[in-house]
Amino acid sequence: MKILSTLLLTAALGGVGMGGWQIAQPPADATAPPTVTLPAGVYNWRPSGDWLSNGRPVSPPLIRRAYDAPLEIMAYHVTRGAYAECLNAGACPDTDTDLSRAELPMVGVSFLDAEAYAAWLSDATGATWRLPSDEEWQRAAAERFVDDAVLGGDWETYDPGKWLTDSYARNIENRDGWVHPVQPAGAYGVNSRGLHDLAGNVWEWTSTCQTAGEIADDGTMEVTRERCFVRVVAGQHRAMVLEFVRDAKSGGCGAGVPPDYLGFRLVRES
Amino acid sequence: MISRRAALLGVAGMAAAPLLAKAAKAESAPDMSMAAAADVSHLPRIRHELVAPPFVHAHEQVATGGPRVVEFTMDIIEKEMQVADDAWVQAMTFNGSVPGPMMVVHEGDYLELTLRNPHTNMLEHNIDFHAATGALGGGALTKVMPGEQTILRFKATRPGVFVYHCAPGGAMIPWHVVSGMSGAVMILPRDGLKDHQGNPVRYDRVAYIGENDFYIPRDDSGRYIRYPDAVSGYSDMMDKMNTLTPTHVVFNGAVGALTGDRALKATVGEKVLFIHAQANRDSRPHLIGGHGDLVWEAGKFNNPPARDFETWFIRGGSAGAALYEFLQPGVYAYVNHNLIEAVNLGATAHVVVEGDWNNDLMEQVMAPTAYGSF
Ligand SMILES: [Cu+2]
Repeated sequence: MKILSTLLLTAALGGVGMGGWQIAQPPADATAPPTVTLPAGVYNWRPSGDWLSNGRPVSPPLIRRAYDAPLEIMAYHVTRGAYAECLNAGACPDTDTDLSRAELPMVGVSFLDAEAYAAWLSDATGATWRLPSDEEWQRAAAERFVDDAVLGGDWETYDPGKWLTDSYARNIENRDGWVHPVQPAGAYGVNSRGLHDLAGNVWEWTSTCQTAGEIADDGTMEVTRERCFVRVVAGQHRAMVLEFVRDAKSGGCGAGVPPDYLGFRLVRES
Repeated sequence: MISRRAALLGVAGMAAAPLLAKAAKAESAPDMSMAAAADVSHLPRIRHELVAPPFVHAHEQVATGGPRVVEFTMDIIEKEMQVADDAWVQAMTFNGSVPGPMMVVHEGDYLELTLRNPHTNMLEHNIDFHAATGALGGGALTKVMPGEQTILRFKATRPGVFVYHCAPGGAMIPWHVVSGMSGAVMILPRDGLKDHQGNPVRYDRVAYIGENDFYIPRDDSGRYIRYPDAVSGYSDMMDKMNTLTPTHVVFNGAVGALTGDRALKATVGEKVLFIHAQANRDSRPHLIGGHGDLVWEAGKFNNPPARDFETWFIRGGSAGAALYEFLQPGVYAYVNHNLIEAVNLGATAHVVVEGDWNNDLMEQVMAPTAYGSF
């Protein structure tokens, strides 16, 4: 995947500049990426996956979670400059992404590429870096998480057509017709936890596998099937993408709009 | 994190994680069984075992009795298949064959398919029936991960031959289809096929021809690359697919699949219904030495058939039907009459016809002899 011409990019940036977006400084050194640490605390979590209740498809409940450990996560996406260091070290696959603009977020990466980067960064820093789980991403994304449960509706009268149109409407919410060029770090602003560029046009790989499960009448949730060949990518909506896919058009958004670009940020284990 | 199998949410090392059981119901996805509420319990049921193409399971041409629920079961099988002497593809198949087996019902029947994706597969699949109405042809309701199965029922409302194919989303769609995941259904009018004047017509045999275009990458020395599994070949095949130039165009999944020992057979006086399905790319069937007596070019039986075609057109993503009564014995070639595709890329089948020669239709008046000798 190649970035568009400088001219286009400049025009787009001019546009966002007038919109009042803050362009932050991109991280300079790959081995010292800025992170934010979320304190232990309470947050909401909407599990991913296909769930059945009494044999019928249902959205999973919104679950209130209280986590007793802090979470340290990169403030920005991994940049092309950072990825290039891993590539030059022979530890990351060449993805055909144009790396000439080091400050741009790395995109066009598969789950496997992101894993390779995490392994290299862990070696290079002596810390343990890994992809966040879908739940950790939601915790960090906070108000930027776009809830994708099928909304409302009367259980007795709901029908598949409405389910499909509602899902589609949610999928295309806030998406315009064009895939805009990848923006420099900071272009999509910062959330209440200090993370930049969440839910912009770069979707983020998570470590969470595609799952299916059952919800019992008492609310107990049991994962019955898990496929780690497919992972959740998070952004303006969640999508299931095969681990080797680099171009989001290949994602599993069905008839909806697929993720624009695939990138990632990492969690540092304490 | 959700831990695998039998792990209960909320006890995986969390300080407190009360489950909101009520939220599950309040924000439920549709209850399809209640929304659809189609009561088919009063209808008789019949179950057909599927047979591999070019053959079709036994069926009535004229329905006896009222509508039924017609049950089928298909396993999706990912496996390597040989396409030519020197070329293999990591195929994705409905029921192990390319094309997938044909399912035959009558207008007004309900087609009920159990679609199974064994855990030995790697990929998610589904099925989009062009004959069905709603939910992306059933594709939105039939996504099955490896290790899952599902049942879809749809009402056969439009008589004709129709393509079905896998359509799991995004670039997976063309990839799965050109890896072999397509087939056809036939929905017969309850009182059978009619000719251009509305008189009943019957066929003695069905020849179910599925045409597939394959895009098999080559290595630097020009040899076709053989991949250990479908996923390893994905990006190479994507590049090849995007050229829109197939390496192989074949009937029944392989060069020569319907020639030689495997040629179709008929006898003089028999009427053969050729059903031609192409899920991805245009084709132009032609029976060399024969014709299409009655041709439903777009494959839909509510339209009167056209007559006496030399070549007919199959739009990519559709199936068509042509009835032909063989009038002479011999060998016929059934081809895609882009002859490069027929001869060089593989789109040729043979029909071996037994019977007595009719000199009135054709006679060799003088065998070839020396130029100027008469
Ligand atoms: Cu498939």
